[in-house]
Amino acid sequence: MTQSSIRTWAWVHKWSSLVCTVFMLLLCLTGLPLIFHHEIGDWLGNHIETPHIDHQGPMASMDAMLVAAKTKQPGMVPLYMYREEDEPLQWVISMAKTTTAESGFKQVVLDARTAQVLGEPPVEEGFMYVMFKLHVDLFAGLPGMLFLGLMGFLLLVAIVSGVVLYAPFMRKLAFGEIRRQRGKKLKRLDVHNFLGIVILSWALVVAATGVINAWSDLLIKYWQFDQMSQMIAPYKNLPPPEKFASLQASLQVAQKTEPDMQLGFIAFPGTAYASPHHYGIFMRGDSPITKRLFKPVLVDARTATLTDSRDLPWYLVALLVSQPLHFGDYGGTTLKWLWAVLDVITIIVLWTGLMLWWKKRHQYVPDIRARITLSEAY
Amino acid sequence: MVTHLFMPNKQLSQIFFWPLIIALVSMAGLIFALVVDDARECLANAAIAIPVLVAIFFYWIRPLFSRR
Repeated sequence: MTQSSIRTWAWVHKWSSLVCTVFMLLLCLTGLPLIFHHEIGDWLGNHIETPHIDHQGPMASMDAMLVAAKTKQPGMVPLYMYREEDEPLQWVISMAKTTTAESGFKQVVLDARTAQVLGEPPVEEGFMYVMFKLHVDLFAGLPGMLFLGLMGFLLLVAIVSGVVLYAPFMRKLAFGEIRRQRGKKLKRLDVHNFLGIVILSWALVVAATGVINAWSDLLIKYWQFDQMSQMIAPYKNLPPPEKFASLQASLQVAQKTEPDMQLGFIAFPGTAYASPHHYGIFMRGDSPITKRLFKPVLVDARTATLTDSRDLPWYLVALLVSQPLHFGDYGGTTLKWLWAVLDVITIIVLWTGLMLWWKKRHQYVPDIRARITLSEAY
Repeated sequence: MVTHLFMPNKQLSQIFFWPLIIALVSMAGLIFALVVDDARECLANAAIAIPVLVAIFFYWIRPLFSRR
């Protein structure tokens, strides 16, 4: 590596990281509680327990649950119906004033056996909501998401240039060597280089999947344009239905269409994952990978008949597979703790990098020979 | 006989040998954890834990033995 190419890479590393560091520190700090959002929700008492009752016989009808939710929140329309993995006997229906609302959401948690309302967890408030919004879009909606996506891309550039620069710095050092006795500066540099190279794979994966996630809203919009518009073409000029067919009957149609899959979630007519004329019923597999890959079944919301069902396009498969790799929620509690420790190591790498720049900025060495010696040292 | 007063320049392959091994093992762990849902998950978690263990070893444990 020539001196000039080292200088170019150093320039790339310095500026790509300087621009994104503050945002990355914010993302690492807000991401830390988000890793444990489930556990924190439990500690804060937001978790709604399923009552122990002696229940035999079939589960409650989807229609009964919908009626119960609408009675609880009159004047609101249902958006999505889903359940948490650890509460298989609950269904959650999210609601808002309109299907296109961007705030004012409510959630109604129902007992899947009896269709009884179990509670309404707080939405859009509290510590975790603030952490979530700061992490996802800085309270700025789509522009905020795309901005953080761009910062994530700069982090990727910083990681790659950091790996390139690792070589010239390590020419005379053994792997893992931290020069502790030769001043704070060298120690800080060695810690930055060592921790940075050690967590390389994890940092690359989390940064890259974060960038993909930042595009999620646009990918869904593209899917609507690319696939949904073809699937619902026959309904193009029809007015939206005023009366809706049974949700339970629609679900049975979807189950019959995909007999080997199970229900993942339901998107109600008018939401981003359905059409104004359809229930979007998203079926999933049950292996570790296929349980994350949904297959949409569009059921006519007026007649409860099948309209279309097709596999997700590659870009949505990429999005759905990238999500667990970003959240670290796919390997139990051990993996969550590993994610947290790696996140803290990332904070140390970011902080030492920032301090290296800050201290160097304040250091002026008038003697040219001393300057050369110092810059050779790091 | 002393052959080098200072450590000689290392080759790229020497510089990146351990980082590459750690990167490959932890990457394999990250992907493996995604496709298994049983006891093999422990294996995947162990692979993902390697960077953390290496960091702990070189930062805290090794200095305890190499103090002069």
